[in-house]
Amino acid sequence: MGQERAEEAVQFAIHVRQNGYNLFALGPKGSGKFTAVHQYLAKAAANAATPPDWCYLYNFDQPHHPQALRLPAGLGKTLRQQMETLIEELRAAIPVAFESEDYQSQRQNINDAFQHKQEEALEELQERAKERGIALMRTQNGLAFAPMEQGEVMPPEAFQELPEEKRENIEARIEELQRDLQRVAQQVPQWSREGREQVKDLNQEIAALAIDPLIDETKEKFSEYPEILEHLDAIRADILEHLQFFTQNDQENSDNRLALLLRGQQANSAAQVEATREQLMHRYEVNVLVDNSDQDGAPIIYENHPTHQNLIGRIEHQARMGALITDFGLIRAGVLHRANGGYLILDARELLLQPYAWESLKRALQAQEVRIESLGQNLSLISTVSLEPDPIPLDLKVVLLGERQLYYLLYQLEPDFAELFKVAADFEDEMDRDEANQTQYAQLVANLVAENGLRPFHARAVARIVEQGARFAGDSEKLTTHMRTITDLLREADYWAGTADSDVVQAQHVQQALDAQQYRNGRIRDRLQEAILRETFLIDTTGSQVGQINGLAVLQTGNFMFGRPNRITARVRLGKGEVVDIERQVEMGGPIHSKGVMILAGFLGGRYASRQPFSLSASLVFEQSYGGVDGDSASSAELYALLSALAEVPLKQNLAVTGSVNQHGQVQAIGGVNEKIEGFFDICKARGLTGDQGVLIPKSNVKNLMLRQDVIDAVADDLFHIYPVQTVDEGIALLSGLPAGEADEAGEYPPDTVNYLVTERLNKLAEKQRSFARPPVAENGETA
Amino acid sequence: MTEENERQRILVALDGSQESLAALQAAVSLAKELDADLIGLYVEDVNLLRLAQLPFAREVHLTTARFRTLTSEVMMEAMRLQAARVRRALHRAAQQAGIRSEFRIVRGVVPTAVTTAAVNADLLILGRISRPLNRRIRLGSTARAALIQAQRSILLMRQPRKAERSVLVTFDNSDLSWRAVRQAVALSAPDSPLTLLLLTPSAAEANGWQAQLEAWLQERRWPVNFRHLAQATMPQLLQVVQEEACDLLILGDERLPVPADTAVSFLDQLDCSLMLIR
Repeated sequence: MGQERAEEAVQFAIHVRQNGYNLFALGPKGSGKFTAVHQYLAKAAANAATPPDWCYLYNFDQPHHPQALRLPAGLGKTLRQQMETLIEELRAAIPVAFESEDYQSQRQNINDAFQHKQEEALEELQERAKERGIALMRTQNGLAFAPMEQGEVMPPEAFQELPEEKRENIEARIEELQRDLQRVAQQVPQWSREGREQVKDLNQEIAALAIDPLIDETKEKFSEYPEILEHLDAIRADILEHLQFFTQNDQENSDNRLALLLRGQQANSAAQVEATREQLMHRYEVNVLVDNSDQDGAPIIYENHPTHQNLIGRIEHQARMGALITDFGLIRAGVLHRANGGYLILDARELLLQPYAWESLKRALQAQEVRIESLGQNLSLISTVSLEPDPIPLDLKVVLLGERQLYYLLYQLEPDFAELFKVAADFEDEMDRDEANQTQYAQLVANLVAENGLRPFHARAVARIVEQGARFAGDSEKLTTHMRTITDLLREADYWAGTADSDVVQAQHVQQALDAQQYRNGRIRDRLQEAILRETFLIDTTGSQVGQINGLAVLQTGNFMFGRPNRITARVRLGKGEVVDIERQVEMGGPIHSKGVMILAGFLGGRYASRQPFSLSASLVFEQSYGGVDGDSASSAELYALLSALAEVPLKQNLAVTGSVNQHGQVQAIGGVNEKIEGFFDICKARGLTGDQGVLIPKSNVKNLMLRQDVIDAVADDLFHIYPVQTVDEGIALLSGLPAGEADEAGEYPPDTVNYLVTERLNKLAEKQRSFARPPVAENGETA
Repeated sequence: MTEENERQRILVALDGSQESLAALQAAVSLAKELDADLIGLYVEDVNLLRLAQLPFAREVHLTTARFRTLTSEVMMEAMRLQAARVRRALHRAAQQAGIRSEFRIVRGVVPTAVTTAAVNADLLILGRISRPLNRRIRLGSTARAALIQAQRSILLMRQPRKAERSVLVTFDNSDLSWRAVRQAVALSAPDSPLTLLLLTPSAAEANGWQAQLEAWLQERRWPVNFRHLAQATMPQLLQVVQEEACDLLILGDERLPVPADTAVSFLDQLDCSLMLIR
């Protein structure tokens, strides 16, 4: 409402699909940017396509590069479930296949064949030895040959008694047999290897029979997705490669151990095998990074904690046996993943406060992909082996919410900002207070009441809210668009209605809420007013004084603004035509205030010193000001005080003044007019309204008048007055009770006018100046 | 035969092979059940000692295909270490079972030394075969000699195929049969199957025996199966053993003709442990 410019910007950003057309919504905090942007985005998102799911799979070729998989929305979850089912079925089917009698029998045959070869070779050797009277004997560590005699090994003595030829003959035979035995022993590893190969082939054949139907069934379900089919093939190959972990069970008997030995592997403990099997199986699972199964249309994600990790995702680790390990299943999505295909809303200030978050977002938007890297990796702080998941292509709109100053600073100082955030949605602080907008404002109030679950608001209460909306805007023709302020007021009015046991929020509850706000925040205001009433701060509200006037200032504490009168005094003396701003001299005046003083000096010079030197020195001061002054809203008051001092005409102290002045004597608009009027009114009221008190304001500020009801009432009752003035002359006439006086053709002012008295005083001062400038007259009449 | 009130003696031949360790396990179970003394016997094989004294003596390692020269010292050291291992195994097993044990080392030709040492024992237990070169050989030379020469009961153990040991006992209601049943109970693990094969042509007699056996075993709450064999021939017995897939066959039948050579032939075909009650 009232944000047509911002809405158009958002629509533009939504519909321009090119890279870099991201949005920066700028406006004060609490102005309803988020709500408005979210509403605009929600309309677009509802009609947009639901983005795809993203999964990470184990990469069997390069385990540290998990493989990204894009699937239509909802299919990721289905794939994960199917794979879980497949894993369960594989876990059951493979051992069953290996427990079958057929398999056991075939494997036994292979083992037997291996044993048979070895035994046959030894038996043949044994027979050959026996024919030669030699026995093949088993020793503690191997086999040996010995000559036999009567069924026993020939005693060494008997051997020594044999003829040498016979001994040599026996030795030669035995040596030959030993060499043959060595050849047999050398062949054992080869036979073992052959046996292993045969068992491996058999195992693969049996396992394939068990797993192929299961894998094929899963393949059929995902036949349109070649990546899934390839992954299933890789799983099949992986199972066949690691069959030993799927077939071994807890009651591994000696035959199985023999089989393992045949395969050249160690018989691991059941627990180790179980753990390894589970690790292998875990790799077949699917990590669904982004699950859009419940998403309808494009996602809109708001991240209120936009850290590096929350943006681009993270890789978690698990502590296992004292070491930190990770795998593809521990990859977690960031908001960039979840908002991919839709919209991501971030608070710009929060984003910039998080270390490296802006850099990470920028990198992702520039590359149009999300690459998950830890900060440690990013900054090369750690060099341990970690995962480098496939980057995921990025297609989303990022909306940053921030204050205007932040936007301008980013635009100026960050070279990439303009490239990435080409669209600015500048939210208005206020809207026109016309008939249509007032109706819309009332509807907004109704929406906020419903959203916040508040009691219904009476029409008068709504009218009071609308009126307060104008007061918040500081303009009777405008309404604030600062939603937080309005919402807070609604909630507080609802509270007060509750305390009064009212089912409907009435106008008085709104007023009560406003009064309570003022009371809660008004401690300093009250102390200042008290100081004035106790005449610690000197402010006259009756009588007249020369060179003294009530200026009006606005103070702000937190979100609470209030006005207070401030005595301004002026003194003049002979001088060189300078107006001394005491505030500036002591460095308590700001530059705008100094500018105002110089402007009024310019007015004085222009009006009164065109024909003679400006022979005065004037000093201006905010009396009892200890905290510094800035702004030019007191420049007209300062001018009036100066004119009073020059003309020696008293000014009415029952009036207070606000408004800046230009060099032509025109009174110009200022801010905080309502608070200023109310500040002086409160003092007058506390002392008792006399009926002649009032405030001079610039005429151009009349439209900003949104005064408190008690002020309005006092004005209506002629107890208090507000005087809109356009020129200094109007003002001085009101304040002094004398006409300002207009110069005639000769430049002379009529007598008994302020301007005349000023001119007269200036003339006198100039004369005195001249007299001081003349050389002293000697007694003989000559000048020195 | 030892009198009932005398402590029985069980001799177990140990050579460190898997079969001899199975024999030790059975021996410990029986010694505990029968409250018998256990004697472990290790024989220093003179044939190996002679071999080591021959000048050309070398052994070939099957795993590495390397030669190692054998000397008396090398052989003696190997035997000493082997004896120490089996002694430790014996004492540990006996200690765990809480029975008395004794370890003896003798030197000689192994079959002769074992049968000689078994003369004074009530039961000789040994492995059917120790580290055979050929798995088709089911009976080693020592077991063969013991079977032929031993006068007392003998248990020839093979390495068990599974933890649960099923036992088959032949029964003819003789004293030997009843001893066999007692031994079977000692050698069975609780809840493991025990099958009694009633050897009689008469079905009525078989029923009577079964009733007696059930009554006796029921006191001990022991699960038991009964089978009846009218014609007690070796082939029929072998068939029953195969059908029952038993791990231990205990022959406790006085009428069953078990001459040594027949038993040897029978054992060559039998692929399980065998106990002969004598």
